[in-house]
Amino acid sequence: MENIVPTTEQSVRERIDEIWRGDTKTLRSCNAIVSYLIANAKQANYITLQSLYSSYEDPDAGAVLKAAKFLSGEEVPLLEMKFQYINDEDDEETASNEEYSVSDIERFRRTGSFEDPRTGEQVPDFERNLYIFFVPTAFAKEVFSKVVAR
Amino acid sequence: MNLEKLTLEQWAAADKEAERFIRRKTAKQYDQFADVFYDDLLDVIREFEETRSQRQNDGENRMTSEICINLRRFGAYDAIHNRDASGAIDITVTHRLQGFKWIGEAKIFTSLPSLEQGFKQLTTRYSLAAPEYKTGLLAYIFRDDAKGKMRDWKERLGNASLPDLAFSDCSRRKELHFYSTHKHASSGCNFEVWHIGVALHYYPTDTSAEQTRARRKAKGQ
Repeated sequence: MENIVPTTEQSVRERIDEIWRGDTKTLRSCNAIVSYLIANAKQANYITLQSLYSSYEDPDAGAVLKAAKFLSGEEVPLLEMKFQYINDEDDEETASNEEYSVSDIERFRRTGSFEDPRTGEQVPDFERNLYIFFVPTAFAKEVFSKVVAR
Repeated sequence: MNLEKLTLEQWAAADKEAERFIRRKTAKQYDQFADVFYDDLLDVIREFEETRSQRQNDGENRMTSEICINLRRFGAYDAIHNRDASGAIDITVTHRLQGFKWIGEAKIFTSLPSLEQGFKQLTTRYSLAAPEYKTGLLAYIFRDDAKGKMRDWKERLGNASLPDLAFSDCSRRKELHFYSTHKHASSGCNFEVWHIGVALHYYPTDTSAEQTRARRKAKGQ
């Protein structure tokens, strides 16, 4: 029988446990992200890996990244990975409001072409200026909307 | 890795899976799915081979279940062990975004006739025979010389009188894997099988290992 997408906090945590029980670090990271989303999914619209990393004790950077990627997949689709263009990371004024999806990134890479959304100029090394962040999916907001944060 | 300000360039450099994550998300054609799925499956197989010392007592079902779980960790695939369809397919993989499917039969290599039975199950019992549908035959090889076993298997298959049979090399791992195509009896279409040798032989011969074996033998283990 196919593994359908879980639809409650309990079934989300059970599914995570089923898949990651052999990898304690990633299991902990996934559960920490679930707890983070229960507390923040409604209002969060720009989640960095650092904010996920800082949300629990004794984290592991590799495990946080692995967990965030897994939860950005389709088995337990709680996060969506996005990208923001910032020309100069020390100057917030150069941050674009445009958000790019993974599909956009695939297109930029395939065509080798990316335009600065503010100036329209081609950016040769655009991968240096596209920053990863996450947003909670509509699915995550729905699943956790009735869960009281602990 | 600066997690607060992680760029695409830094992610791609630090994470060997970054590129595959993007390919899984953006696969729109079956071949694009198969291409990234094969890379992912090979990743799982390599991890199996690296941990082969712990797998010497594992059975076929346990290993195949673990392969399915490890494939699900990529987040993009549903991978089911023993899905019932005209019998029990060992591995059924579905790309969750696009619904592309792949099926695999897995056998512990005990003999060439046994592997041939697995091939026949895959190609005549389980396969949907649709032309866009690819499949795989995994051979868990606990014996030595996995490359030789796969060469012998290829030779046996070549003598099996399959219609329009053709072989091609596997660019990912030429020594242990290869592809075959033949005309499927039901659909008449070309049917592709990825033959995947999984090298699990483990027999260290250093002094410490020899001493351990001698102690076990003395204890009758």
